[in-house]
Amino acid sequence: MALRIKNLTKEYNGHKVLDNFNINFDDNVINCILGESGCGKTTLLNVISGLEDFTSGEITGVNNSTFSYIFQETRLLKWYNVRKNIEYVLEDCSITDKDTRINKYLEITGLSEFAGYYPDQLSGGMKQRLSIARAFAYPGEILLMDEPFKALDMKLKKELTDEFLKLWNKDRRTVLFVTHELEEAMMMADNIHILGETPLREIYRTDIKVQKGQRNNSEEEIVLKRKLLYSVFTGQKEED
Amino acid sequence: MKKRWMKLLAVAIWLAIWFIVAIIINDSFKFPGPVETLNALFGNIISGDGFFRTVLTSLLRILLGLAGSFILGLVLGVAAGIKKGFADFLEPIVTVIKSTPVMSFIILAMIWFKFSTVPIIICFLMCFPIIYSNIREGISQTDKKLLDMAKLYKVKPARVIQGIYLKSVKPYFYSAANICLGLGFKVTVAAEVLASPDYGIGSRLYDAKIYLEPVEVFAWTFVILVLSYLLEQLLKFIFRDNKKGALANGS
Repeated sequence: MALRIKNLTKEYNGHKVLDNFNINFDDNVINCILGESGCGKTTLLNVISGLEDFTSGEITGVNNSTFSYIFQETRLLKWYNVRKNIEYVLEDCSITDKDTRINKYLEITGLSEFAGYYPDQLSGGMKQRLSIARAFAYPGEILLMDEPFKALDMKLKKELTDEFLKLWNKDRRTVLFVTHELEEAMMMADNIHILGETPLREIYRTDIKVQKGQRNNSEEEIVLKRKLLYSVFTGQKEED
Repeated sequence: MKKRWMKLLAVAIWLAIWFIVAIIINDSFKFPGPVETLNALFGNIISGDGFFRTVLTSLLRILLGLAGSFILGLVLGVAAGIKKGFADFLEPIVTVIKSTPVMSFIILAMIWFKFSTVPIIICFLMCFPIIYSNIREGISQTDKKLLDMAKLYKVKPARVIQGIYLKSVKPYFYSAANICLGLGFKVTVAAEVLASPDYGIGSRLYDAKIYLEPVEVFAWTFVILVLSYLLEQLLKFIFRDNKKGALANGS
Protein backbone atom coordinates (compact mmCIF):
# COMPACT_ATOMS: atom_id res chain seq x y z
CA MET A 1 0.00 0.00 0.00
CA ALA A 2 1.48 3.34 -1.07
CA LEU A 3 2.53 5.86 1.53
CA ARG A 4 0.16 8.83 1.80
CA ILE A 5 0.38 11.87 4.03
CA LYS A 6 -2.72 13.96 4.55
CA ASN A 7 -3.03 17.32 6.32
CA LEU A 8 -0.02 16.64 8.49
CA THR A 9 0.93 19.24 11.07
CA LYS A 10 3.95 19.06 13.33
CA GLU A 11 4.66 21.68 15.96
CA TYR A 12 7.64 22.23 18.26
CA ASN A 13 6.69 24.47 21.18
CA GLY A 14 4.02 26.21 19.14
CA HIS A 15 6.29 26.62 16.10
CA LYS A 16 4.93 24.84 13.04
CA VAL A 17 7.47 22.86 11.04
CA LEU A 18 4.88 21.01 8.99
CA ASP A 19 1.61 22.76 8.38
CA ASN A 20 -1.32 20.91 6.81
CA PHE A 21 1.14 19.07 4.64
CA ASN A 22 0.12 16.59 1.93
CA ILE A 23 2.26 14.26 -0.14
CA ASN A 24 1.97 10.86 -1.84
CA PHE A 25 4.87 8.55 -2.48
CA ASP A 26 5.15 5.79 -5.07
CA ASP A 27 5.93 2.22 -4.04
CA ASN A 28 9.22 0.55 -4.88
CA VAL A 29 10.82 3.62 -6.41
CA ILE A 30 13.26 6.19 -5.12
CA ASN A 31 11.20 9.19 -4.06
CA CYS A 32 13.37 12.22 -3.59
CA ILE A 33 12.33 15.13 -1.41
CA LEU A 34 14.30 18.16 -2.49
CA GLY A 35 14.29 21.26 -0.33
CA GLU A 36 16.50 23.89 1.21
CA SER A 37 18.35 23.20 4.45
CA GLY A 38 16.19 23.59 7.53
CA CYS A 39 12.87 23.33 5.70
CA GLY A 40 11.80 20.32 7.77
CA LYS A 41 12.88 17.40 5.59
CA THR A 42 14.42 15.44 8.47
CA THR A 43 11.37 16.10 10.63
CA LEU A 44 9.20 14.69 7.85
CA LEU A 45 11.25 11.45 7.76
CA ASN A 46 11.24 11.19 11.55
CA VAL A 47 7.48 11.61 11.68
CA ILE A 48 6.94 9.01 8.96
CA SER A 49 9.21 6.52 10.74
CA GLY A 50 7.57 7.11 14.11
CA LEU A 51 10.70 8.54 15.72
CA GLU A 52 8.72 11.71 16.34
CA ASP A 53 5.02 12.22 16.99
CA PHE A 54 2.96 14.59 14.92
CA THR A 55 0.42 17.13 16.06
CA SER A 56 -2.42 16.31 13.66
CA GLY A 57 -3.09 14.72 10.29
CA GLU A 58 -2.94 11.26 8.86
CA ILE A 59 -0.24 8.95 7.56
CA THR A 60 -1.42 5.85 5.72
CA GLY A 61 0.49 2.97 4.22
CA VAL A 62 2.94 2.57 7.09
CA ASN A 63 0.91 0.37 9.43
CA ASN A 64 3.19 -2.35 10.77
CA SER A 65 5.82 -1.34 8.23
CA THR A 66 9.44 -1.79 9.08
CA PHE A 67 11.93 0.93 8.23
CA SER A 68 15.58 1.06 7.40
CA TYR A 69 17.30 4.40 7.78
CA ILE A 70 20.53 5.75 6.36
CA PHE A 71 21.26 8.75 8.51
CA GLN A 72 23.24 11.87 7.78
CA GLU A 73 25.69 10.87 10.51
CA THR A 74 26.32 7.15 10.27
CA ARG A 75 25.11 6.30 13.81
CA LEU A 76 27.37 3.28 14.09
CA LEU A 77 28.19 1.64 17.41
CA LYS A 78 31.88 2.38 17.79
CA TRP A 79 32.39 -0.44 20.31
CA TYR A 80 31.23 -3.07 17.81
CA ASN A 81 33.09 -4.10 14.70
CA VAL A 82 31.68 -3.86 11.19
CA ARG A 83 29.97 -7.27 11.25
CA LYS A 84 28.58 -6.80 14.75
CA ASN A 85 27.10 -3.41 13.79
CA ILE A 86 24.91 -5.15 11.22
CA GLU A 87 24.27 -8.14 13.48
CA TYR A 88 23.04 -5.80 16.22
CA VAL A 89 20.03 -4.59 14.22
CA LEU A 90 19.26 -8.08 12.92
CA GLU A 91 19.34 -9.96 16.22
CA ASP A 92 15.69 -9.29 17.05
CA CYS A 93 14.47 -9.93 13.49
CA SER A 94 12.80 -13.13 12.44
CA ILE A 95 15.18 -13.64 9.53
CA THR A 96 16.71 -17.04 9.02
CA ASP A 97 20.37 -17.39 8.16
CA LYS A 98 21.47 -13.97 9.31
CA ASP A 99 25.13 -14.77 8.68
CA THR A 100 24.59 -15.38 4.98
CA ARG A 101 22.61 -12.15 4.74
CA ILE A 102 25.33 -10.16 6.51
CA ASN A 103 28.01 -11.70 4.32
CA LYS A 104 26.02 -10.86 1.21
CA TYR A 105 25.73 -7.16 2.02
CA LEU A 106 29.28 -6.89 3.29
CA GLU A 107 30.44 -8.30 0.00
CA ILE A 108 28.26 -6.03 -2.14
CA THR A 109 29.49 -2.95 -0.27
CA GLY A 110 33.11 -4.12 -0.42
CA LEU A 111 33.44 -4.45 3.33
CA SER A 112 34.04 -8.20 3.64
CA GLU A 113 37.72 -7.86 4.38
CA PHE A 114 37.01 -5.13 6.95
CA ALA A 115 34.40 -7.15 8.87
CA GLY A 116 36.60 -7.19 11.99
CA TYR A 117 37.39 -3.48 11.91
CA TYR A 118 35.83 -0.95 14.25
CA PRO A 119 34.14 2.23 12.99
CA ASP A 120 37.00 4.40 14.30
CA GLN A 121 39.32 2.46 12.02
CA LEU A 122 37.27 3.18 8.90
CA SER A 123 37.30 6.17 6.58
CA GLY A 124 34.18 8.36 6.18
CA GLY A 125 33.20 6.61 2.95
CA MET A 126 33.56 3.15 4.48
CA LYS A 127 31.46 4.15 7.45
CA GLN A 128 28.70 5.30 5.14
CA ARG A 129 29.02 2.05 3.17
CA LEU A 130 28.53 0.17 6.42
CA SER A 131 25.49 2.26 7.18
CA ILE A 132 24.11 1.38 3.72
CA ALA A 133 24.91 -2.32 4.22
CA ARG A 134 23.13 -2.24 7.59
CA ALA A 135 20.07 -0.57 6.08
CA PHE A 136 19.81 -3.14 3.28
CA ALA A 137 20.58 -6.12 5.49
CA TYR A 138 17.67 -5.11 7.72
CA PRO A 139 14.40 -6.17 6.11
CA GLY A 140 12.84 -2.70 6.20
CA GLU A 141 10.04 -2.26 3.70
CA ILE A 142 10.63 1.48 3.49
CA LEU A 143 14.15 2.86 3.30
CA LEU A 144 14.61 6.39 4.60
CA MET A 145 17.69 8.36 3.63
CA ASP A 146 18.52 11.68 5.24
CA GLU A 147 21.23 13.35 3.15
CA PRO A 148 23.55 10.42 3.72
CA PHE A 149 26.27 11.68 1.38
CA LYS A 150 26.26 15.26 2.59
CA ALA A 151 29.65 15.17 4.32
CA LEU A 152 31.46 13.40 1.48
CA ASP A 153 33.48 14.86 -1.38
CA MET A 154 32.10 14.82 -4.93
CA LYS A 155 34.10 11.81 -6.11
CA LEU A 156 33.10 9.67 -3.16
CA LYS A 157 29.53 10.88 -3.35
CA LYS A 158 29.32 9.73 -6.98
CA GLU A 159 30.95 6.40 -6.10
CA LEU A 160 28.57 5.72 -3.23
CA THR A 161 25.54 6.85 -5.21
CA ASP A 162 26.43 4.38 -7.97
CA GLU A 163 26.96 1.61 -5.42
CA PHE A 164 23.69 2.43 -3.71
CA LEU A 165 21.78 2.27 -7.01
CA LYS A 166 23.44 -1.04 -7.88
CA LEU A 167 22.39 -2.41 -4.50
CA TRP A 168 18.89 -1.00 -4.78
CA ASN A 169 18.42 -2.52 -8.24
CA LYS A 170 19.12 -5.94 -6.72
CA ASP A 171 16.86 -5.35 -3.73
CA ARG A 172 14.13 -2.84 -4.60
CA ARG A 173 12.25 -1.09 -1.82
CA THR A 174 10.34 2.13 -1.42
CA VAL A 175 12.93 4.80 -0.77
CA LEU A 176 12.32 8.26 0.66
CA PHE A 177 15.45 10.25 0.08
CA VAL A 178 15.81 13.80 1.30
CA THR A 179 18.44 16.19 0.04
CA HIS A 180 19.01 19.87 -0.66
CA GLU A 181 21.27 19.14 -3.62
CA LEU A 182 19.76 19.17 -7.05
CA GLU A 183 22.60 17.13 -8.56
CA GLU A 184 22.21 14.42 -5.94
CA ALA A 185 18.46 14.28 -6.49
CA MET A 186 18.99 13.86 -10.20
CA MET A 187 21.52 11.10 -9.71
CA MET A 188 19.31 9.12 -7.36
CA ALA A 189 15.63 9.71 -7.83
CA ASP A 190 12.82 8.22 -9.87
CA ASN A 191 10.70 11.20 -9.02
CA ILE A 192 11.41 14.44 -7.25
CA HIS A 193 9.18 16.34 -4.86
CA ILE A 194 10.27 19.91 -4.36
CA LEU A 195 9.37 21.36 -1.01
CA GLY A 196 8.59 24.95 -0.20
CA GLU A 197 9.87 27.17 2.57
CA THR A 198 9.27 26.46 6.25
CA PRO A 199 6.70 25.58 7.38
CA LEU A 200 6.25 22.92 4.74
CA ARG A 201 2.92 23.77 3.28
CA GLU A 202 2.98 22.52 -0.24
CA ILE A 203 4.83 20.55 -2.78
CA TYR A 204 5.73 22.61 -5.75
CA ARG A 205 5.90 19.72 -8.09
CA THR A 206 5.14 16.08 -7.84
CA ASP A 207 5.19 15.08 -11.46
CA ILE A 208 8.86 15.32 -12.23
CA LYS A 209 10.06 11.95 -13.39
CA VAL A 210 13.76 11.62 -13.92
CA GLN A 211 16.02 9.11 -15.53
CA LYS A 212 18.37 8.03 -12.76
CA GLY A 213 22.03 8.73 -13.34
CA GLN A 214 21.42 11.45 -15.95
CA ARG A 215 24.86 12.89 -15.66
CA ASN A 216 25.90 13.33 -19.25
CA ASN A 217 25.07 17.01 -19.78
CA SER A 218 22.70 15.96 -22.52
CA GLU A 219 20.09 18.37 -23.80
CA GLU A 220 17.40 16.47 -21.82
CA GLU A 221 19.39 16.81 -18.64
CA ILE A 222 19.88 20.54 -19.10
CA VAL A 223 16.16 21.00 -19.77
CA LEU A 224 15.24 18.98 -16.69
CA LYS A 225 17.66 20.90 -14.53
CA ARG A 226 16.22 24.17 -15.76
CA LYS A 227 12.71 22.99 -14.93
CA LEU A 228 13.72 21.89 -11.47
CA LEU A 229 15.57 25.10 -10.75
CA TYR A 230 12.62 27.13 -11.99
CA SER A 231 10.37 25.26 -9.56
CA VAL A 232 12.80 25.63 -6.68
CA PHE A 233 13.12 29.37 -7.12
CA THR A 234 9.59 30.35 -8.12
CA GLY A 235 7.48 27.72 -6.46
CA GLN A 236 5.66 27.24 -9.71
CA LYS A 237 5.58 24.65 -12.40
CA GLU A 238 7.23 25.77 -15.58
CA GLU A 239 5.06 25.22 -18.61
CA ASP A 240 6.58 22.92 -21.19
CA MET B 1 58.91 0.74 26.91
CA LYS B 2 60.48 4.15 27.48
CA LYS B 3 57.41 5.22 29.43
CA ARG B 4 57.74 2.20 31.73
CA TRP B 5 61.39 3.03 32.43
CA MET B 6 60.42 6.61 33.20
CA LYS B 7 57.85 5.38 35.71
CA LEU B 8 60.37 3.08 37.37
CA LEU B 9 62.86 5.93 37.48
CA ALA B 10 60.29 8.17 39.19
CA VAL B 11 59.63 5.46 41.81
CA ALA B 12 63.37 5.03 42.35
CA ILE B 13 63.87 8.78 42.81
CA TRP B 14 61.10 9.00 45.43
CA LEU B 15 62.50 5.97 47.26
CA ALA B 16 65.88 7.69 47.27
CA ILE B 17 64.29 10.86 48.69
CA TRP B 18 62.62 8.76 51.43
CA PHE B 19 65.97 7.10 52.12
CA ILE B 20 67.78 10.47 52.36
CA VAL B 21 65.08 12.05 54.59
CA ALA B 22 65.30 9.03 56.93
CA ILE B 23 69.11 9.48 57.12
CA ILE B 24 68.71 13.20 57.86
CA ILE B 25 66.12 12.59 60.60
CA ASN B 26 68.30 9.78 61.89
CA ASP B 27 65.65 8.32 64.18
CA SER B 28 64.42 5.00 62.77
CA PHE B 29 61.90 4.67 65.60
CA LYS B 30 60.00 7.86 64.62
CA PHE B 31 60.70 7.84 60.91
CA PRO B 32 61.84 4.49 59.50
CA GLY B 33 63.54 4.48 56.11
CA PRO B 34 62.92 2.03 53.25
CA VAL B 35 65.50 -0.44 54.58
CA GLU B 36 63.92 -0.66 58.05
CA THR B 37 60.47 -0.86 56.52
CA LEU B 38 61.43 -3.73 54.20
CA ASN B 39 63.20 -5.47 57.08
CA ALA B 40 60.05 -5.22 59.19
CA LEU B 41 57.91 -6.35 56.28
CA PHE B 42 59.91 -9.45 55.40
CA GLY B 43 61.39 -10.05 58.86
CA ASN B 44 58.28 -9.79 61.05
CA ILE B 45 55.10 -9.21 59.13
CA ILE B 46 55.13 -11.61 56.17
CA SER B 47 56.79 -14.41 58.10
CA GLY B 48 54.66 -13.73 61.20
CA ASP B 49 51.47 -15.53 62.19
CA GLY B 50 48.37 -14.94 60.13
CA PHE B 51 49.83 -12.54 57.54
CA PHE B 52 48.00 -14.07 54.59
CA ARG B 53 44.81 -14.47 56.56
CA THR B 54 45.00 -10.81 57.60
CA VAL B 55 45.61 -9.62 54.05
CA LEU B 56 43.00 -11.90 52.51
CA THR B 57 40.37 -10.93 55.09
CA SER B 58 40.91 -7.22 54.36
CA LEU B 59 40.93 -7.90 50.64
CA LEU B 60 37.72 -9.88 50.90
CA ARG B 61 36.03 -7.06 52.83
CA ILE B 62 37.12 -4.53 50.22
CA LEU B 63 35.93 -6.74 47.37
CA LEU B 64 32.57 -7.39 49.06
CA GLY B 65 32.07 -3.68 49.73
CA LEU B 66 33.06 -2.80 46.18
CA ALA B 67 30.92 -5.57 44.67
CA GLY B 68 27.87 -4.35 46.60
CA SER B 69 28.43 -0.75 45.56
CA PHE B 70 29.12 -1.73 41.93
CA ILE B 71 26.00 -3.90 41.63
CA LEU B 72 23.61 -1.51 43.36
CA GLY B 73 25.26 1.58 41.81
CA LEU B 74 24.98 0.06 38.36
CA VAL B 75 21.34 -1.04 38.68
CA LEU B 76 20.12 2.16 40.35
CA GLY B 77 22.37 4.36 38.17
CA VAL B 78 20.96 2.85 34.96
CA ALA B 79 17.39 3.21 36.23
CA ALA B 80 17.98 6.80 37.40
CA GLY B 81 19.72 7.71 34.12
CA ILE B 82 16.75 6.48 32.12
CA LYS B 83 13.99 7.76 34.44
CA LYS B 84 14.54 11.28 35.72
CA GLY B 85 11.76 10.86 38.31
CA PHE B 86 13.60 7.93 39.87
CA ALA B 87 16.81 9.99 40.01
CA ASP B 88 14.91 12.76 41.82
CA PHE B 89 13.55 10.19 44.28
CA LEU B 90 17.05 8.86 45.08
CA GLU B 91 18.75 12.26 45.16
CA PRO B 92 18.13 13.06 48.89
CA ILE B 93 19.48 9.74 50.17
CA VAL B 94 22.52 9.86 47.87
CA THR B 95 23.26 13.42 48.99
CA VAL B 96 22.99 12.37 52.66
CA ILE B 97 25.42 9.45 52.11
CA LYS B 98 27.82 11.70 50.20
CA SER B 99 27.82 14.47 52.82
CA THR B 100 27.90 12.43 56.01
CA PRO B 101 31.41 12.15 57.51
CA VAL B 102 32.83 8.64 57.26
CA MET B 103 33.49 8.63 61.02
CA SER B 104 29.76 9.05 61.73
CA PHE B 105 29.02 6.03 59.59
CA ILE B 106 31.77 3.96 61.21
CA ILE B 107 30.54 4.75 64.73
CA LEU B 108 26.91 4.02 63.84
CA ALA B 109 27.88 0.81 62.05
CA MET B 110 29.87 -0.31 65.10
CA ILE B 111 26.73 0.16 67.18
CA TRP B 112 24.42 -1.60 64.77
CA PHE B 113 26.53 -4.38 63.19
CA LYS B 114 29.18 -6.98 64.00
CA PHE B 115 32.67 -5.43 64.05
CA SER B 116 33.87 -7.74 61.29
CA THR B 117 31.17 -6.49 58.90
CA VAL B 118 31.60 -2.78 59.67
CA PRO B 119 34.46 -2.28 57.12
CA ILE B 120 32.37 -3.90 54.36
CA ILE B 121 29.41 -1.60 55.05
CA ILE B 122 31.66 1.47 55.18
CA CYS B 123 33.38 0.53 51.91
CA PHE B 124 29.95 0.07 50.31
CA LEU B 125 28.58 3.38 51.66
CA MET B 126 31.59 5.41 50.53
CA CYS B 127 31.81 3.87 47.05
CA PHE B 128 28.13 3.53 46.18
CA PRO B 129 27.42 7.27 45.59
CA ILE B 130 30.44 7.55 43.28
CA ILE B 131 29.45 4.53 41.18
CA TYR B 132 25.79 5.56 41.14
CA SER B 133 26.47 9.18 40.15
CA ASN B 134 28.92 8.24 37.40
CA ILE B 135 26.64 5.59 35.94
CA ARG B 136 23.64 7.93 36.04
CA GLU B 137 25.68 10.65 34.34
CA GLY B 138 26.94 8.18 31.70
CA ILE B 139 23.43 6.96 30.97
CA SER B 140 22.02 10.46 30.65
CA GLN B 141 24.90 11.36 28.30
CA THR B 142 24.17 8.40 26.01
CA ASP B 143 23.91 9.55 22.40
CA LYS B 144 20.20 10.00 21.66
CA LYS B 145 20.88 9.46 17.97
CA LEU B 146 22.05 5.90 18.68
CA LEU B 147 18.91 5.30 20.73
CA ASP B 148 16.79 6.57 17.82
CA MET B 149 18.67 4.23 15.49
CA ALA B 150 17.91 1.28 17.79
CA LYS B 151 14.26 2.33 18.10
CA LEU B 152 13.91 2.55 14.34
CA TYR B 153 15.43 -0.88 13.83
CA LYS B 154 13.10 -2.21 16.55
CA VAL B 155 15.90 -3.43 18.82
CA LYS B 156 14.47 -4.87 22.06
CA PRO B 157 14.88 -2.78 25.25
CA ALA B 158 17.13 -5.35 26.98
CA ARG B 159 19.56 -5.21 24.09
CA VAL B 160 19.39 -1.42 23.92
CA ILE B 161 20.54 -1.40 27.56
CA GLN B 162 23.22 -4.00 26.88
CA GLY B 163 24.38 -2.75 23.47
CA ILE B 164 24.09 1.02 23.85
CA TYR B 165 23.54 2.21 27.43
CA LEU B 166 26.07 -0.07 29.14
CA LYS B 167 28.65 0.42 26.40
CA SER B 168 28.27 4.21 26.57
CA VAL B 169 28.62 4.07 30.32
CA LYS B 170 31.84 2.04 30.26
CA PRO B 171 34.27 5.00 30.50
CA TYR B 172 32.21 6.50 33.34
CA PHE B 173 32.18 3.13 35.10
CA TYR B 174 35.95 2.75 34.64
CA SER B 175 36.59 6.20 36.06
CA ALA B 176 34.34 5.47 39.07
CA ALA B 177 35.90 2.04 39.60
CA ASN B 178 39.37 3.58 39.53
CA ILE B 179 38.43 6.13 42.21
CA CYS B 180 36.63 3.50 44.29
CA LEU B 181 39.54 1.07 44.34
CA GLY B 182 41.76 3.61 46.09
CA LEU B 183 38.98 4.94 48.27
CA GLY B 184 37.75 1.41 49.11
CA PHE B 185 41.17 0.49 50.54
CA LYS B 186 41.41 3.68 52.57
CA VAL B 187 37.96 3.54 54.16
CA THR B 188 37.97 -0.22 54.74
CA VAL B 189 41.30 -0.05 56.54
CA ALA B 190 40.14 3.04 58.47
CA ALA B 191 37.01 1.17 59.56
CA GLU B 192 39.14 -1.82 60.57
CA VAL B 193 41.36 0.46 62.67
CA LEU B 194 38.32 1.70 64.59
CA ALA B 195 36.30 -1.52 64.74
CA SER B 196 39.43 -3.62 65.20
CA PRO B 197 38.01 -7.01 64.14
CA ASP B 198 40.12 -10.15 64.76
CA TYR B 199 41.74 -10.12 61.36
CA GLY B 200 42.43 -7.19 59.03
CA ILE B 201 45.20 -4.85 57.99
CA GLY B 202 43.51 -2.04 59.92
CA SER B 203 43.53 -4.12 63.09
CA ARG B 204 47.27 -4.67 62.70
CA LEU B 205 47.73 -0.91 62.17
CA TYR B 206 45.79 -0.38 65.39
CA ASP B 207 48.14 -2.82 67.18
CA ALA B 208 51.12 -0.93 65.80
CA LYS B 209 49.67 2.28 67.23
CA ILE B 210 49.09 0.66 70.65
CA TYR B 211 52.63 -0.77 70.78
CA LEU B 212 54.17 2.39 69.25
CA GLU B 213 55.71 0.71 66.23
CA PRO B 214 55.82 3.22 63.35
CA VAL B 215 57.92 0.82 61.29
CA GLU B 216 55.01 -1.64 61.29
CA VAL B 217 52.67 1.15 60.18
CA PHE B 218 55.01 1.86 57.28
CA ALA B 219 55.27 -1.83 56.41
CA TRP B 220 51.51 -2.45 56.46
CA THR B 221 50.98 0.72 54.44
CA PHE B 222 53.42 -0.69 51.92
CA VAL B 223 51.31 -3.87 51.76
CA ILE B 224 48.19 -1.75 51.11
CA LEU B 225 49.95 0.16 48.33
CA VAL B 226 51.05 -3.06 46.62
CA LEU B 227 47.55 -4.58 46.84
CA SER B 228 45.97 -1.37 45.59
CA TYR B 229 48.40 -1.26 42.66
CA LEU B 230 47.68 -4.91 41.77
CA LEU B 231 43.92 -4.34 41.83
CA GLU B 232 44.34 -1.24 39.66
CA GLN B 233 46.29 -3.29 37.12
CA LEU B 234 43.55 -5.93 37.19
CA LEU B 235 40.98 -3.22 36.50
CA LYS B 236 43.05 -1.89 33.60
CA PHE B 237 43.29 -5.43 32.21
CA ILE B 238 39.51 -5.92 32.44
CA PHE B 239 38.82 -2.60 30.70
CA ARG B 240 41.63 -2.89 28.16
CA ASP B 241 40.87 -1.76 24.64
CA ASN B 242 40.74 -4.93 22.60
CA LYS B 243 40.41 -3.38 19.18
CA LYS B 244 42.49 -5.11 16.57
CA GLY B 245 43.39 -4.31 13.02
CA ALA B 246 45.31 -1.64 11.25
CA LEU B 247 43.89 1.72 10.32
CA ALA B 248 42.11 1.67 7.03
CA ASN B 249 42.89 4.13 4.34
CA GLY B 250 41.02 4.79 1.17
CA SER B 251 37.26 4.77 0.87
